[in-house]
Amino acid sequence: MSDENRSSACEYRSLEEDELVHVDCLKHVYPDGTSSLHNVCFSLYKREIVAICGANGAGKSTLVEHLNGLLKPSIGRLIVLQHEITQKTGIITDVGLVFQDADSQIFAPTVLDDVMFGPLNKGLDIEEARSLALSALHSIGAAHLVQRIPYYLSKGEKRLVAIAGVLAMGPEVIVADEPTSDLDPVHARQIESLLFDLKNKNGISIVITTHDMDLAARLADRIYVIAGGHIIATGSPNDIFYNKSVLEQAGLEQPTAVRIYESLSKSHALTGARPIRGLDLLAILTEALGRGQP
Amino acid sequence: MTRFGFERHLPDLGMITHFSERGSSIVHKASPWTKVALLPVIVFDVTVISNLELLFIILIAVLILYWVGKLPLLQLAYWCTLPIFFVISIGILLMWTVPGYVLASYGPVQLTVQGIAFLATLVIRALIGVIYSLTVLMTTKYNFLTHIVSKTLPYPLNQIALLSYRFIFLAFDGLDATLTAMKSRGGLHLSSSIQGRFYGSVFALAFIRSFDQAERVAKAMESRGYSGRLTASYDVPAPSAWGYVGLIVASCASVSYYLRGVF
Repeated sequence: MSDENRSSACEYRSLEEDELVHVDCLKHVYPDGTSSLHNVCFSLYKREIVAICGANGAGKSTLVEHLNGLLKPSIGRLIVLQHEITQKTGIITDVGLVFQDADSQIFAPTVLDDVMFGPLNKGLDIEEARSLALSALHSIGAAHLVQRIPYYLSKGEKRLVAIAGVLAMGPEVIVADEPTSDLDPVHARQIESLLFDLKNKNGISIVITTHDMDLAARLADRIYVIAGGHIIATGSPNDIFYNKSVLEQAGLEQPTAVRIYESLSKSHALTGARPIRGLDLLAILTEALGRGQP
Repeated sequence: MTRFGFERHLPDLGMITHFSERGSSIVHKASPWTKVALLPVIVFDVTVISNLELLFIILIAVLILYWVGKLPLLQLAYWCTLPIFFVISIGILLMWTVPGYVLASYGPVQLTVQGIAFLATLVIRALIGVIYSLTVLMTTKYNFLTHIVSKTLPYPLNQIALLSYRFIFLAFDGLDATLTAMKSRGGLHLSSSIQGRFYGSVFALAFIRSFDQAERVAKAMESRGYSGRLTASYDVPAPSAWGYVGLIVASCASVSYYLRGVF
């Protein structure tokens, strides 16, 4: 993207060595002229989970669809795995995109066929594609679904198949749009721990979008808060979740643990680091109870 | 999926996929090439044959094929109501203009034996096409169809055909969901004029929605490296000797019948 297109209010940053995704001053304009992203700057580093948090219609999905080149930047610079995305760039298949609605992603008649779709598009032969698909399904604990017809799977199972579909392509980055929305708590936890394992065991960097602050608190290493197409804050979960005004501006709530902690700390002297997850809060309360505090 | 009321008359994506992927009848085992190649022969037949008895024999043959494929007959009866309704709604206007042995006369229009036969011919022609197409869809794996379409049609027509195939399924699925939601709010117990208006809106909505969903499916496919060419993941079994014989006999019979009429 040429420099003259860049907004004067936004400066390009230098690309860091371990940066997998680098977005500068990104603006996206829909064909009808509506802007959905304004001067968005974003980074994703190796082996981290980043959460993009925002209310419905904030621009989360539009932003993540840029990250593998599905949408091209109207204005701004987007560098993904050392490739600059321009209007002429194809899809970066090393960035796997898991769509919010798994039904939109799964189209083949059996689970195996669907998971093989990506590897076949990469030019692998049928046996290699099958082996990768089976391995991807096995690694996420979905090997039992291999011959099932996707139409009859539960939403949680469909989400697993959708993740296997991108995992089979051997991505360096997985982008999951609202990965646990519409799922029951058991399946949501399963997806959550799967994403966590993909980062810790497979070294895959992950971007999630969500308006579930408890999920972001449990998973994310860094948070971006987006509202009206603008990134209004970025930082560690602790910085973001204790900044109530930023969350309110984005139409979000603090995570449950943070709300309870803030409420309790008004009347009680609680020690230790400020919690963002339920387990952190539990540790603080256990310690307080051990000291004889209520 | 539990289906009830009006939704039962719409082709069920899940059921069609289930039979095509899981079926093990002799029709399932027949070469997909043979089944697909017979489709244009049958379309040719129903186009050129106007003899009611002969069309009826073909209909029975197609029904037997469907039954041998161990496909659900009762469900077929439900699915056939829509094409029958469609053909009758058009044919019933035309049948009054067919000359012949008059059964009843209403002013300038007449109901004739030939008029009734004309309507029956239209219905049987439609049924043969619908039942055979359903038999092919329900006894042939999607991947085989993908392979055949990619090999037989030139690019980009093959891609358009394959994506249209998914689009039709999505459209029916959307229509089904909307009708179920409508029914759950008592929408199917309204007066016929209001219902007619509702059905118009529902069909329009389902069409728009399926376009939207088809676009999302295409987007998801693109993000997994799809660049306009679906890669076939299976080799399609070639027709057997009997398959070739059947195809040749059917084609020759159709062409001879047509030529006999021409000359």
